[in-house]
Amino acid sequence: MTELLGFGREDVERISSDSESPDWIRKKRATAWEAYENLPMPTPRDEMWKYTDLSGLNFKNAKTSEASKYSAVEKFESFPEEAIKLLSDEVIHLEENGGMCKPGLLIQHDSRVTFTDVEKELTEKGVIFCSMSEAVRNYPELVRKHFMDKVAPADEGKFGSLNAALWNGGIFLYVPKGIEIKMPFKSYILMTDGGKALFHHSLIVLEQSAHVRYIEQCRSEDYSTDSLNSSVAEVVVKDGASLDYITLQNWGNNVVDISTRKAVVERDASVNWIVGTLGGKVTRSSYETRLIGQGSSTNTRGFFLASDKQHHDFWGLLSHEAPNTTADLLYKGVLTGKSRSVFRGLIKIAEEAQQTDSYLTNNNILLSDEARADSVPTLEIKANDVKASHGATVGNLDRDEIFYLMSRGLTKSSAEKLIINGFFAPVLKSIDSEILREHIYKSIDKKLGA
Amino acid sequence: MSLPTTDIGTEEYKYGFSDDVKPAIKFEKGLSRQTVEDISNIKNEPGWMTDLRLKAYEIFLEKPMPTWGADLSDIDFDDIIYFVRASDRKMTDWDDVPADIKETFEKLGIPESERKFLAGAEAQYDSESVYGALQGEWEKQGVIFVDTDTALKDHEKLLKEYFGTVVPAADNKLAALNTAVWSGGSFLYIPKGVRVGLPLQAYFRINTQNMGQFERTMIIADEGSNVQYIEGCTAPTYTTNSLHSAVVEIICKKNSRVRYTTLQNWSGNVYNLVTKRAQAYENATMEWIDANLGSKVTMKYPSVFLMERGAKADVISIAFANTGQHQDVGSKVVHLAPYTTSKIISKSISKGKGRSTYRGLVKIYEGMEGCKSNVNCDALLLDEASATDTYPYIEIEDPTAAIEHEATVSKLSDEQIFYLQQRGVPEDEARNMIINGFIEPFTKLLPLEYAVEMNRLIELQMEGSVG
Repeated sequence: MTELLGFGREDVERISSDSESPDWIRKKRATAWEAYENLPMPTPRDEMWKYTDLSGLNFKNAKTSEASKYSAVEKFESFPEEAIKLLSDEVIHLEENGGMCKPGLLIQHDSRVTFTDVEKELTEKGVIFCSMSEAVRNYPELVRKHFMDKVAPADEGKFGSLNAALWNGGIFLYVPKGIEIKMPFKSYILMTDGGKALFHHSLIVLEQSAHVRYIEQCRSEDYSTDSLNSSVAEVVVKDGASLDYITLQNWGNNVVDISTRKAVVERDASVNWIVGTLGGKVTRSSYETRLIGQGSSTNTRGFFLASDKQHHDFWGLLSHEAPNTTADLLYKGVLTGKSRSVFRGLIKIAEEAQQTDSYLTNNNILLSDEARADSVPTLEIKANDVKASHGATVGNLDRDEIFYLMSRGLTKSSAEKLIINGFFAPVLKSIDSEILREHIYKSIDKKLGA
Repeated sequence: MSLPTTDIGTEEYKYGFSDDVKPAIKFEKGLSRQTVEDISNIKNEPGWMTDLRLKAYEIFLEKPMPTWGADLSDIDFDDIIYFVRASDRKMTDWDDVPADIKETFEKLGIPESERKFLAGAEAQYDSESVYGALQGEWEKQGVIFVDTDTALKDHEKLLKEYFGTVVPAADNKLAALNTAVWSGGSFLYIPKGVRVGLPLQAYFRINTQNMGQFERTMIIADEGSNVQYIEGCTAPTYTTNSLHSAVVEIICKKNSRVRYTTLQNWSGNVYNLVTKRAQAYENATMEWIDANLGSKVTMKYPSVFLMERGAKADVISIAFANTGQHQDVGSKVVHLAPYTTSKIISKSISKGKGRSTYRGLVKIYEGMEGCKSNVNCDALLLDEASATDTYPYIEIEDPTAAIEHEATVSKLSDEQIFYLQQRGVPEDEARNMIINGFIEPFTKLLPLEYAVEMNRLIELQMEGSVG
C-alpha cells in the first residue's frame, strides 16, 4: 500500500526550530510525532473508518507551513480584492457595523494568520482572541493548563497526533469569569491554492458563567491538486458557562478535511454545536462532547448537502459522565449525484450518570439513484434512570408534496428546492445571523443547481 | 431507589438438573482433523460430506475469532467434547426411549406437549436425536420431519442440494466449526402448497459436561407452503462452560411462509453462538420469533436475505439478561430485490449486572426500488448496574427506500408502578405486569401454551427483585 502522507520528522524539526517556540511545545510535538509514527493508518477494517476509505488519496507532495500568497494586514480593507472575493458576506457584515469587527475577527490564509482584530473594550476586561501561536508566546501559563492535555491529548489517534506534531495556525479564545458577549467571534480559514496541508489547532476556554458565541468558516476555490485540512479544536467550558460553536465548511472540491472538535463541559455548563458541511472532497468531521459536570448539556444541529462524488462522514459522541445531563443531536442531510454520507452517533451513559436525557436523530434524503447513505446511531448505556432514544430515517422527497406545490404553479425544481429548504429549516433556524443564513441558503441553491 | 440484585442462581433455573446417563459413545475432549473424520465415520456418511467437513475444518482454523461482539476469550476449543451419542438408536415410540433420558424430557414436559398440540416433535440429547415423531396426516402429504443425520441417509439428494447454500462454511469461524463437526438438528421439508396447521417442535438438551452441541437445522418450504417450527433449549448447570453453536438454514420459496420460534433457555454456563439465516423468494414471508432468556453469552442475529420481489422479513426478538449474562442479539436483513419489506422489533430487559446488546443491519442495494424497512428497539433497565447497547447499521444505496429506525431506553416507570399500587396491586406484581406488557408484542405471537410458559419464566427471573 502506498503511503497516504509524505511528512517526516524533518517537518516537525523545521516547525520546532522556530526560535519563539517554547520547550514544552517542542516536547509535545516530539511526543505527538512518535505516537503518529507508531499508529497505523486507519483503514475500512477499523470500525470507526468502516465506510470511509482513505487509501485512494495521496498527499505525499502536500506542503505544510508554506508562506501564504497574502501577507498579514492591519486593516481588513488592505487585503487585495482577490482575497476579499471569498469573504463577500463578511464585507456586508462589516459595512453594517460601520467597519468594526465586533467583538473579534480572525482570518487565516493557509497556515498563516493574516488578520486579527478584537474589540479593545473586551481586551481590557481580559478577553483574549488571537492566533494560537501568539497565545503560546504571550499567555503560556493560560494555554499550558489546557493545551493538548485532557481534552485532546497530543498522542491520540493517527490524525490527532499528526495535527499535534505539525500544528500551525488556529485560534485561542479565552473569556474570563462572568463575561457575556452576544455578538459572535468569527474566524475564517481560507486556502489559496491546491497541494496544501493545513494543521490548525484551536483552543477555547470559558471561565465560570461566561457566555459567548463563535463562528468558524472554512472556504476555498476549487483547485486541481488535492489539499488536506486536518484540524483539532479543544473546548473547555467551566461551571455555568455556555458556548455556541458554529462551523461551516465550504471548501473547494479538492480538499480532504479530517477534523476533530472536542469539548469538556463542566457543572451546569453547555456547548451547542451548529455544524454545516457543504464543500470538500472527502470530509470526516468528529464532534465529541463530554458532559463531566452535573447538570451540563449539549445540543447539536447539523446539516449537509453532498453532490457529485463528495463523501461526508460525521461522527458524534455524546458522553454522559455525570448525573442530570442532557444531550440532543439532530443531523440532517441531502445527497445528490454519486455522493455518499456516513452518520455515526453514539450516546454513552456512564453508571453514575443517572437522570440523564439523551436524543440522537439522523434524517437523510437521497435525491439520486447513485447516492448512498449509511447510518449507525448507537447507544451504550450503563445507568438505568435515564431516557435515551435515537432515530434514523432515509427516504426520498415526498411525491405528494411536490405534486401539491406544482399544482400551485411552482416548477418541479423550485418545489424540490422549497421542500429541501424546509427539511433543513429546523437546523438553519438555530443560526442567529441573518447574513450567514442567507449565505448558506445561497450556497445550497448553488449546489442544487438553481 | 436501590434494588438488591439477585444472581441467576441454580435454585431459580428449574432445568439445571443433570442426568447420570451412560452415553453409548463419548469422544475425548479436543478437536483435530481426526475428530472430524471420526464423527463422519461413526455416522457412515457419504464421502462428499466428509470432504465438506474437512474443508470446513481448515476454514475454521484460518478464520479469526470474532472480536466485535461479546467477550469470547474464555472459550477453549480444546476443552470441549465434540461428540456424545446418548442412545444406540433413535426411537419413534416414546415408550422405547431409554428410561433415564425419557425422565429428563418428561421433566421438561416434551411428549406431554406433543400430545396436546404439536404436529410432530424431535428431541435431541447431546449430539444426536433420541426421539422423533410426525403425525400421520402430515406424513401422508409428503412432509419430511426428521433429524438431519437421518435426512442425510434417507433424503441425501434433497439435503445435498441445499446444504451450506444459505450459510456457507466460510461465513464465519463458528459456522465453519459447525459445518466441520455438526451432528443432529432438524430437517424439515414442506411440499408445494402444504399448510401444516399445527407447529412442529424440536427440543435440544445438553447433558454432558463440557459438551459442544453443534446441531444443523434446515427448513425447505416449497412454493405456497406454510409451517411453524418451534425449538426449545435447556442444559444442566455446571461450573465449566459448554458451547452451543448451531447453524440454521431456511429456504422460503415463492409464496411460502415460515415462522421459526426459538425459546432459548440454556443454563448460565453455556456459550450460545448461533448462525441463523433464511432466504425468502417471491412474495414469501420469513418470520423469526426469538427469545433469549438463558445462556452465559449469546451471539445470535437471525437474518433474512430477501431474494425476490415482494419477499418479506419479520423479526421479533426479546432478550433477558441477568447478572452474569450478556445477550448480544439482533437481526440482519439484506434487501436483494425491489419491493421487499422488513420489520424488526427488538425488546430487551437487563437486570442486576446483566447486559443486553442489539446489533443489527439493514442493507438496501442500489436499484432495489420501493423497499421498506422499520426497526424498533426498546430496552428496559431494571437495576442501577444493568447495561444496554444498541448498534444498528443502516446502509442505503437506493433513493426510493423508506427506512425508519427507532430505539428507546428507559427504566420501569415509577409512575406506572405507583398507579398500579394505588389500584391495590402489590409492587412485585405491578412490576411483572409492566414487564409482561413490555414484551407483549412478542408473547402474542406464541402458541398459548408457550406464551403462558414464557410469562412464567420471566416471572421466575424477576423473583426476589423487590426489596
